[in-house]
Amino acid sequence: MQTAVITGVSRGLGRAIALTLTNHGVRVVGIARPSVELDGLVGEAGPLFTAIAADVADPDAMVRAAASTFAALGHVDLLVHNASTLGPVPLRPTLDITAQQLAQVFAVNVTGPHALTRRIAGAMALRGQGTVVAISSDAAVNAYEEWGPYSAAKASNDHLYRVLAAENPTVRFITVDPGEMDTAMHAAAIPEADVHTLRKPSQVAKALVTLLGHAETGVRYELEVSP
Amino acid sequence: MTAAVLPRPSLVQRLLVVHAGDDAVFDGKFLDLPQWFEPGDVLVVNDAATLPASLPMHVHGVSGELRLVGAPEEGWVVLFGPGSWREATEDRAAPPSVVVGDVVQVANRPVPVLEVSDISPRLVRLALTLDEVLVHGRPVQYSYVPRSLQLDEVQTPYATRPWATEMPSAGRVLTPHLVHALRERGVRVVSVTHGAGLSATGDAGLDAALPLPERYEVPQATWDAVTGAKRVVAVGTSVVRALESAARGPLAGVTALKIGPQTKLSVVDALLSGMHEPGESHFQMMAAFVDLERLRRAVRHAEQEGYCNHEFGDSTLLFRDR
Repeated sequence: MQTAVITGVSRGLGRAIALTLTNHGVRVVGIARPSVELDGLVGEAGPLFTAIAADVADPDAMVRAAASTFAALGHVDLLVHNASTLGPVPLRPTLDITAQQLAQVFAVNVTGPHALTRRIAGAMALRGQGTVVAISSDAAVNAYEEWGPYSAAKASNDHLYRVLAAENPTVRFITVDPGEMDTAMHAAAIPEADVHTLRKPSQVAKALVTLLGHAETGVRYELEVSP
Repeated sequence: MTAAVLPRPSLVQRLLVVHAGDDAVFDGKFLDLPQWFEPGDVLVVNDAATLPASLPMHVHGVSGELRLVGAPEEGWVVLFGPGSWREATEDRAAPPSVVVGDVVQVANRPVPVLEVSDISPRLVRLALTLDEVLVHGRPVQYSYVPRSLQLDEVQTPYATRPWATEMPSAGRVLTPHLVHALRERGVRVVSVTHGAGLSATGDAGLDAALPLPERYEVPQATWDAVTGAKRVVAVGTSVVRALESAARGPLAGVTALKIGPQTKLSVVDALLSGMHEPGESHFQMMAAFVDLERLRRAVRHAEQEGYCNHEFGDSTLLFRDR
């Protein structure tokens, strides 16, 4: 693997994946909304990393980000859809979620990312190789109270990727449940959680890169992390 | 011919097949494209993505538009006067004339004019960046299209680097599914990158000079596939230009090669393109494959049969004699 694109790269798992890959000598494009954290990552990750400031919820911005990406990398071996949103926090019962709020969660988790997938995976199909990963969640499988929008969006991606895998035999499409991690998103969802029981994003990023060595298309993986 | 005014799926795309040595033409479906090829044939696509090559500009008190000719960093642009894309380019008011050193506001940034072309006073060089084009630009629009086109709608399915200022439209409906079907048949599908430029500007002097020099890159692996091919099929006129340029010079560079009825093609055996009519530069290129009289008959047939033309129109597949 020579090149990768990662969304939601400013913090948490996205940041850890970017750093893990650049440490492996992979040229990485990171997509995220502009922030101090994104600027900081540019310095930390070094010359193999290129930042593109864009909102994944905006399909047109994703088409433009794809053009920037190809200008920087030439081709893309790996696309990781890591950017995500819980929707309104504190989490609340699904009947308290408006249609607009639900649509915004799908925009960040499903529809905006699909605009980027279209542009990147089409070129992968022509080259006859490439991997697209979406970060999933156990909420995609289990019906946790108050996790309606997020879990529906994650379940939606799990199935979308199975269909993409069936349709495109030369490109790998997988989804990965990384387990519960010590991230800002987790703190927003479950502020009372004991962080010592949570996985570190850097451990999870390493396990994800290892998984990519043998993962099969159309599969939803639950990531195993060695302590 | 009637224009297809909006993007259409490959499902409804028609395919007109013309052979240089045969008076008969064949009406087919684009989805049946693979049946026209044999194992050992090599299909070559242009993987250039389409830039949002149109930007708002303001100069000498007049608000207008500029359209990139090629790479933003090279900076050659065509200036358009007031009005909008809803008017045909030839009906647009001319922009104010500019000289070297004048300042053009491009997306609210002052940009000096570095050079004015001998071809037309509307063809000027500015210093632009890819980033600002990707942020502020939008796709070149067409007056026959009833609404503004989004950037996603003017991409081929396999687009990579943003080199084209207008869509390499011949491959717009060449979906991953069709590419896979072609490969299953034993046809190799490979790519070049060619910075396809503006199709028309409305400026007679400039349009007569089209196509302007364009950058191209033929990967070594593609060249190897082409030289070992049974037949080479170019998907789009830009691929013909890239491959025939590579045959006459380096595998990558800038080409001023123009291809017409007199051109002896050295690499490409067949062309998959849109529907083109006499008077268009693309029609001239088609005449390098099939003689003009037979082409004119094919166009009359297409008109009678209700084929659609322009960027989202139907397809023509031309085989030349070998």
